[in-house]
Amino acid sequence: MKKVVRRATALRSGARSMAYSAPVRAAVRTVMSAPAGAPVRRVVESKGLDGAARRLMSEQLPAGKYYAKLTIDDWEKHRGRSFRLLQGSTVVYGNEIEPPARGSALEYRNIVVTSKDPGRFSLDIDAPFSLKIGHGAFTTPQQIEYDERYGVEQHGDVFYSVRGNTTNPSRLLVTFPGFGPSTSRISYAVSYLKDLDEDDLQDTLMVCFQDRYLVSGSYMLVDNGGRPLYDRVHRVIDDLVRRHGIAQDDVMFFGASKGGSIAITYAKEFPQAHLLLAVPQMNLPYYFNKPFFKDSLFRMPQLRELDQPQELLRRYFAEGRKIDYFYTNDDELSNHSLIELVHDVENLTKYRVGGVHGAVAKNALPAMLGVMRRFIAPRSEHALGCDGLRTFVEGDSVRLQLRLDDSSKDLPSRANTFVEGTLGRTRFLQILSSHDYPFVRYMDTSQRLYPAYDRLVDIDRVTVLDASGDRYSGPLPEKIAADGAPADLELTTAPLQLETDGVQEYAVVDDTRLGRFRYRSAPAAPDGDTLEVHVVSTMGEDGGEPLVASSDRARFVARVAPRGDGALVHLIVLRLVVAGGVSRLRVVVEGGPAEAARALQDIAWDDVELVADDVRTEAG
Amino acid sequence: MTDTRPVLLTVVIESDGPVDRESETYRRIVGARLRYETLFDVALVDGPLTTARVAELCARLGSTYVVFVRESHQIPAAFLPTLLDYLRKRTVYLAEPTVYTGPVPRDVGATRLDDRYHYARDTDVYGVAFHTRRLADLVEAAGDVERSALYLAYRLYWSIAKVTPLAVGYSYASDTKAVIGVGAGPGTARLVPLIPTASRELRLYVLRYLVLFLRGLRSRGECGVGLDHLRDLIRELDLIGLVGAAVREPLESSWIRWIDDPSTTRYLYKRLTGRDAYLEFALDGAPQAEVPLYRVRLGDETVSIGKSYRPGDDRPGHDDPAVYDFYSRPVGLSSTILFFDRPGQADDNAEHLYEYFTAHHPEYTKAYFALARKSPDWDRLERKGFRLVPIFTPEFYELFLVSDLVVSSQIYNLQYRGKTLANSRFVYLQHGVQLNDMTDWVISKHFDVFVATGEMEASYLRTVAPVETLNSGLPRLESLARVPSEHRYLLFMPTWRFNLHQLSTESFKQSDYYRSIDALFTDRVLLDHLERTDRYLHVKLHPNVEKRSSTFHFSDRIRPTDVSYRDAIASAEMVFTDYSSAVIDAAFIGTPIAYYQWDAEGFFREQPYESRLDYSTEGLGPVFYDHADVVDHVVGGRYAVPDDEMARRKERFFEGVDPSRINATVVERMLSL
Repeated sequence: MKKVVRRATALRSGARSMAYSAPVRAAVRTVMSAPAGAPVRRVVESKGLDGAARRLMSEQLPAGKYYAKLTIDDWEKHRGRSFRLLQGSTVVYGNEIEPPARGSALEYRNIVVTSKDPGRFSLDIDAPFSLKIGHGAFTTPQQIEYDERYGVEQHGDVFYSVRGNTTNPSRLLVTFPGFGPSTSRISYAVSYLKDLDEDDLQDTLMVCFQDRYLVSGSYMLVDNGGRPLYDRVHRVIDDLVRRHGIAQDDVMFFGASKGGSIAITYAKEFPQAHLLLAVPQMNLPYYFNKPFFKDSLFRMPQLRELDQPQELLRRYFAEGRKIDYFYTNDDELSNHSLIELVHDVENLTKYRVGGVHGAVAKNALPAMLGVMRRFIAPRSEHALGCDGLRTFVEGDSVRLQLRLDDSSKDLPSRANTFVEGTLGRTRFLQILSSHDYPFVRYMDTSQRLYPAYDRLVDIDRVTVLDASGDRYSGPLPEKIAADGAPADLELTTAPLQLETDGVQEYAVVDDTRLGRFRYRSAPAAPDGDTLEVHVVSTMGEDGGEPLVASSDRARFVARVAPRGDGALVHLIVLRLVVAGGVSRLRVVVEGGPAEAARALQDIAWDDVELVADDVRTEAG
Repeated sequence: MTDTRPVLLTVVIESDGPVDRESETYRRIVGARLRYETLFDVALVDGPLTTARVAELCARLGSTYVVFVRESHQIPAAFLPTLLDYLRKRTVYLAEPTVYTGPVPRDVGATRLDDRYHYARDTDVYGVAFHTRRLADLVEAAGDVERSALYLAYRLYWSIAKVTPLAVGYSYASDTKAVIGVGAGPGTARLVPLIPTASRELRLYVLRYLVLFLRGLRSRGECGVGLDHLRDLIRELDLIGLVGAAVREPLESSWIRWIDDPSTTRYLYKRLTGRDAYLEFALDGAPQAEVPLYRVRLGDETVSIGKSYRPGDDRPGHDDPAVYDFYSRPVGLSSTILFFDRPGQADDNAEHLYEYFTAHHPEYTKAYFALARKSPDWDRLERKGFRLVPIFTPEFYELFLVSDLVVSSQIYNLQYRGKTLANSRFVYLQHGVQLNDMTDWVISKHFDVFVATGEMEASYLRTVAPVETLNSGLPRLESLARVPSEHRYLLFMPTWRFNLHQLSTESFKQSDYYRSIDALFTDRVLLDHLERTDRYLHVKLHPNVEKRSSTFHFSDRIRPTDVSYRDAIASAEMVFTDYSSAVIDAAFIGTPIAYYQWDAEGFFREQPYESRLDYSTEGLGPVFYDHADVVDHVVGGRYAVPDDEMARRKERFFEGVDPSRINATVVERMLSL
């Protein structure tokens, strides 16, 4: 009897493998790509086979890989804690437990595993769980409804929706999505931008890509099988441009957060295209070093090996590409201290919005829509009067309050107000908040100017950007008076290097704080698993003592000398260890300010050794 | 009082003296007998209703319910029928009308019963039908509370959290409590029983009562209620949570906060240019504030309240960009400046200052004059080229919001989107000269500049507003001049008496006020004199008396005039009044004035404010108390004889005022704010 059961199981397994074979998948995709209501689709749907068809349509994984859906029960008592799913002793997924949508189970779909046997999996938290493992990707009714609502189509293993002028467009707007909540029932969204309607898009084709890979997206760098996606996605864009004869400078790439990073990636071969970015992640491994990703994306070597967004962006800066970049200083993980400090880049416009990462796109949506609409068609320019400027100096930063003239009562309500100036060839705009009084704009506590790198002397206008694309602008009535705050420091934005040629400067920005450093770094043992950093008080031009690791496990050894109060030294150390791609961090504190020693105690790295026996602090 | 018998409701009518059976209020009550005679009875109370009298009435009355009506209050014809129809069908603790202080609107049901209503509602006992036995229970338990708090005590005692008023109105026909507050007798140790409630409307009522109590205390100076009781009341009913949103009396608002938390002794009161005015509270023994305002005794403790001026940097929020400072830019050429007099009537100080300002400073292109669109002055001012804006319209408030300065002879509690006269510039021009001691009122108001006329008024105002007082003189005086007239006119301008409200015509004609004035109008000697000398006596009646104008015996020689005060004064040969400060204008331009005060003894007793001026020694004209004397003064032509004493008094009265630079002085000050 047992033999019969095993034989029947083997047969079912074989049939399943055949069903999920490439020819069958291709046939099903053809059937399901027929318009809704088409006879062939009606037959499939009437027999209740549409769910199975969707699984069959999904991306075919390499042999020996499967899609898994993890459901964790009784999650409430683990809320806020990290968990890991292990296949045997190997971590295959991890996250931080957040509550699911009301009435829904806590699910993580499309974890890619190499065993079909749920019995081989375990969780490192004491919570009951179940696993479903199969050849087809998992989805939810909400995702299916979402895809239908936004017209998301599958083209091979690439997913996107198309709208606007699809016949003879003269412009192309390409959008990429950000992350949704990790426990959302809709894991794969599109940046649809509902505000842009058919009127807006009468000459523009809009393509909204979906990052439908892994549990919540792969930055569209790899597919579920870990294979690079670039060529497949690029081909879609390139085909559209060629098919419609769209000039490159009539192409705009847009994305917020993850979408921004993807936009940077896919703009690579469109040097004339316009790039509209909001809070993109500049260094993916560095960004992934947090509970949500450190046991998922952080563990994917493919994401580390590809060009990082900041490398591409530096190249774009050098090429003078047209870039509008919305950001906040309170986003050190995403910014990696590039956009905050970059200046004198031609055709770059920086919009500092303030607030947390997730609030930037929402708070600056009118201005971003305005940038898009100005890309789509010419818009009006209007004069704006400003009667009063008050400057509030708070330590190293400055906040402003403006009084607009009486015409401000006619300003559109859906608009963002900025003070505007120049950083060399770069335009710089700092957002202000609206006030109960319609003629007042002010900077709230998350909106500040930093005399050290904002060049207040060159900030001389107030500008309102309307969601329609209209722009209202006029001069400030007087100079910003920031007496007493440090101004115009020479701050470098050169990337952090593991192999330096002499002493380098580096600066880190984290919200209101600025950390400045001198450092050197060199390779040590090629097979080492450690990055060893010596924190010292000072570093002359010659770099001081030779760079010698005290541990034979060090793959790299670095020496860092904080300037000033040593703030943010833990962040430069963290950036070094992430860049080094090693698992261990050894920090030898030889000197430096007391603040630096304290900050190093809390460094966000799992395997860290802090050697502070010979600490020589300057104060306290 | 009628015999008591078992009826549904007793209407207790309170009057000062014998009830006026021809008054509208009385007639409307007894008129309900036509349909409801078996349901209610009427009881009369001569003299003030007290808690003790309420207790006595409750013990004696056989009716299920009792309602108190003051004779001077206004009730619509439907008041009693509505109450009776409601009460006859149910047994309730109380039934109450929708209560007003002004006229009862036609559509009572449209009144929004929101926080504003609850805070403004007078919560005295009047108009409310109480269950007689339950009221008796209440006064037995809490007979120590004032009558004015009985309604609140009743609701607290019986835990009546919410009452939906009936769709019929009741008006107290006066809001003098807002000016004079309420009092508590020396033996009263508490305002209301300390019974907690979560009812927002009841807490608002108690809060307002507390505000009125403190307002009254400022004038009275002492009471038996202790700070501890007030603090317990504030905390037990969580009144602090309501203060910010509801209380419109700034001094009392701060006072309540201080009682709740005496560790904070200084409260921002008014933003000024370069510095701010604060209220300071202290228990006896603490250092005096820069400008002492009050020393008030509450039970065993003495509280001093003072004012201080402190630099702008001391003000919380001065360094916060989220807080807009209406003083952050000076008054300049791009400034919006808003002027107004009374909504319905211009021709006062703001109009005259506006005219001067726009003529002499045309470079200020955003000066507006606000006025009611229906005002008879609108067309006149429009013809003069005034830039008019309809007052209290959305357009007016938008201008107020963007304005850098408001200049007015009226003080309104302007509030719009967080802008008030406490946090923005306001020049108060007044309508006249303060001859009464109105410091309680002055202290309660927000202004940057208070225009005084003469050193006597200025020095009195400086006792409470040393920084804000400007002795420039009233703007309207500068352009006032004697105008030769074809005929010779005398002018009489009697003022008003509060106790004449609601009197029937017959009772009005019985009043001293009417009889004294009408005796003058019918005086044969005076009439003969006017006829003989071809003079006329013009009478400028107070607006409140205009409707009874026909009761006076006017004649060819003595007649009412409808020309403006200004024109009437300018063309008069001599002006006399009982107490009106309007005669000061006449004195300013050298027109002889006189006072005829037939009721001097009682008049000042009835007034909410005490006279500051000793008319007999400081008045700018002779004072007469007898009819014959004032007639003799006029007929004898003595007013035309130069009087050195009056000239000296006038010089002293107007000291410091440069008649040719009044407007220039005000403008210089307002542009420097």
